[in-house]
Amino acid sequence: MLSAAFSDPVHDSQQTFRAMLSALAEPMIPGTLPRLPEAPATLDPACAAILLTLLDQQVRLWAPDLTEEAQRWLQFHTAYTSAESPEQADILWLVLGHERPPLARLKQGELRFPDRSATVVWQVEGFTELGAPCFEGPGFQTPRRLQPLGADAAFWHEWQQCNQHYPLGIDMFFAGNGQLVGLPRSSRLREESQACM
Amino acid sequence: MYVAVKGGETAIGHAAQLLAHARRGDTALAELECRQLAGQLRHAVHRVMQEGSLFDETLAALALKQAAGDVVEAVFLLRAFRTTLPRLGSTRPIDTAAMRVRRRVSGTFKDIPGGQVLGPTADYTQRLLDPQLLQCGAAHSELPQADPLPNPLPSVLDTLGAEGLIEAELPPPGDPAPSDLTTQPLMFPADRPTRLQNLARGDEGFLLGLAYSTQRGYAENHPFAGEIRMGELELFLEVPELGFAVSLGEMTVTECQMINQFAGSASEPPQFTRGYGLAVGEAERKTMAMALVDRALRAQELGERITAPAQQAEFVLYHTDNVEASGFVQHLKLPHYVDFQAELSLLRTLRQEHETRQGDPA
Amino acid sequence: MTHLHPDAARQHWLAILANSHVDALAPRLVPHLPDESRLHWLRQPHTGLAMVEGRIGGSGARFNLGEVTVSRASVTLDERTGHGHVKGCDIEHARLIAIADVLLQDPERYPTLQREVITPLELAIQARREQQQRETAATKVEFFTMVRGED
Repeated sequence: MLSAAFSDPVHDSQQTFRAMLSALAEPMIPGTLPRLPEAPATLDPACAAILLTLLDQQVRLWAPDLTEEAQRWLQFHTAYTSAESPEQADILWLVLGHERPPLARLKQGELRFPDRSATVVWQVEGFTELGAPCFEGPGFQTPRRLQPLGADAAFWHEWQQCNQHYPLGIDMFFAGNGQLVGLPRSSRLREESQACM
Repeated sequence: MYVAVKGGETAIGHAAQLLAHARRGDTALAELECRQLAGQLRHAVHRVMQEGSLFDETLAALALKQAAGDVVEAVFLLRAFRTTLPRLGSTRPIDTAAMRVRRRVSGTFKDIPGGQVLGPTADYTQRLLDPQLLQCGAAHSELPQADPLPNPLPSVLDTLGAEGLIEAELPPPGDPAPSDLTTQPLMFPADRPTRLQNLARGDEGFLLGLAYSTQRGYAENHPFAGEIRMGELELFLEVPELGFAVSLGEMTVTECQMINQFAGSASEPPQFTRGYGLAVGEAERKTMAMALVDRALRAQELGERITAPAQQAEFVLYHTDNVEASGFVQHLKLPHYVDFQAELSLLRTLRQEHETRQGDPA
Repeated sequence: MTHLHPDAARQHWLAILANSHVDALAPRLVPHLPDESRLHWLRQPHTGLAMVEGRIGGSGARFNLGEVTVSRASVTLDERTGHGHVKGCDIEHARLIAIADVLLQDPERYPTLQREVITPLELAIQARREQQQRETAATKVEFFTMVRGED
């Protein structure tokens, strides 16, 4: 039996999109998602809100952790297309800490069309400043320290490698428990020798 | 120095009120209903649907009413509205052979299977203004009837196809989904499906002029109207949760198959080639023009000399869209005060230099 | 109808419902409507777009002709799901089709609905189409040859 999704699809997805824009405009500041849909058990409602907002039949999704039930639900509400491989995906939904494709394999866009790159939606448990690296770049008034639970130095190194050829690169969202953090390709890791606020 | 100018809000507000007032016209007369427009000005409504690229009679009639009959403005309104709607999918490719035909004529064969069926055409009217229409309430007479025609009516071009005298029209391997101009920018070289999408939403007047130019010698065409058919066909949408294609209801379309000579090439024997026109609604002139332009744009593919504007894809496809064209032409109304001041000042300087030179005896 | 594959029967009634005018459908369906509180809307009635595809020359490569507005709705009732899809912006039409679809899947209700809703609508569609085809056929050209003399 399928369940419903957003109670007011047009306005709920608009508000979600607005929250996502804000998250990218001020990276690494946790924001809240104003509208959480009914969602299958394995899919966090915050991630579900983002996927309902971003997906349609022209978007290719790579989501190895989707259960069959969640797949049917998402298919019904968005009519998304399944990507045949991570390389083809426009959007990826990944659970941080689960097995995942190397970020270097994802689409980084082309110089003429840098927008033809992958966006990764990470399902996370929460965020911490503890042991987090320091980020800077457009949208940071001062450098900030934050990371989702479960990210480690290797993860950030891999992320950094993907975004060396700006404007090519990948954009990421971390979402879970009603919270949302954005990390656009324009953000950078700050050298550890420099001070961080 | 750059000076930002503000002001005009009040004037703009009042102009909008005046516009609404002008649209309504004489309030002693009944206001037009959208249903009346769709029912009695169907050609205008169909044209707004074609060029607005949104097939919805109610919305097209509304746009036409709101634009006070300005077709290009109505097209703009419809294009703007469509951007607010989610895309649910693509229909199954429509099967024009399965059409319930209301008009079907051929300019190439007198005797065609099913016959020449005129339908609701103005072709044989004398084009004399009918003063009776100045009054409303004309008497409604019973329409003549005859035994229904075979359904569906076979395609005229199949006869030529059976003899191999016309190029076959088959889907390419894999029957790929076409690229979509509503989501992908127009790039060159543009394949034929992309060109046809562009022409289908193109301005009828522009296409008609281009088509006419090909007939007057600005392209190597010698066209015949192989078949024109108009009628209703059912739209089907694949619905994954149902597991089958569901009928959405019927839509009126017009199709034109032009036949053109082709001398043959190293690999192809001499045969007829095709130009294709398809549009929603009753759109005979539009589809005929579209078919002629489609054929002209195949010049490169068929190894023909490219000598005329109608054969140049970039020229044609970049200028068919009346929303773009109207926007760019009309943007000249917007304040260009600063640009113009610069031009003016440059001209004054040049003038001064010119006068100095004139007055200089050397 | 009952001899058809269940999908074919469903496809058929959905086609009848979508091809009927909402003003013809509503009065026939209203007496059969269940209490609104028993309906659970999976997809609230809403309008979107479907790209209409054609084929070059009628049979060749696919191309995009333009978009059509489509209204749709999905509803559940007693563990069954009904889907309504129809061309146009009339979300009430889509809502009624979805409810009719879920009701028609119930073997207890099917015979009554078939008799009182689907069959009359189908007959009306057939009559409308036949009338139009007869009027069209009257405009067929009957060519005749002028015979000049016998020798």
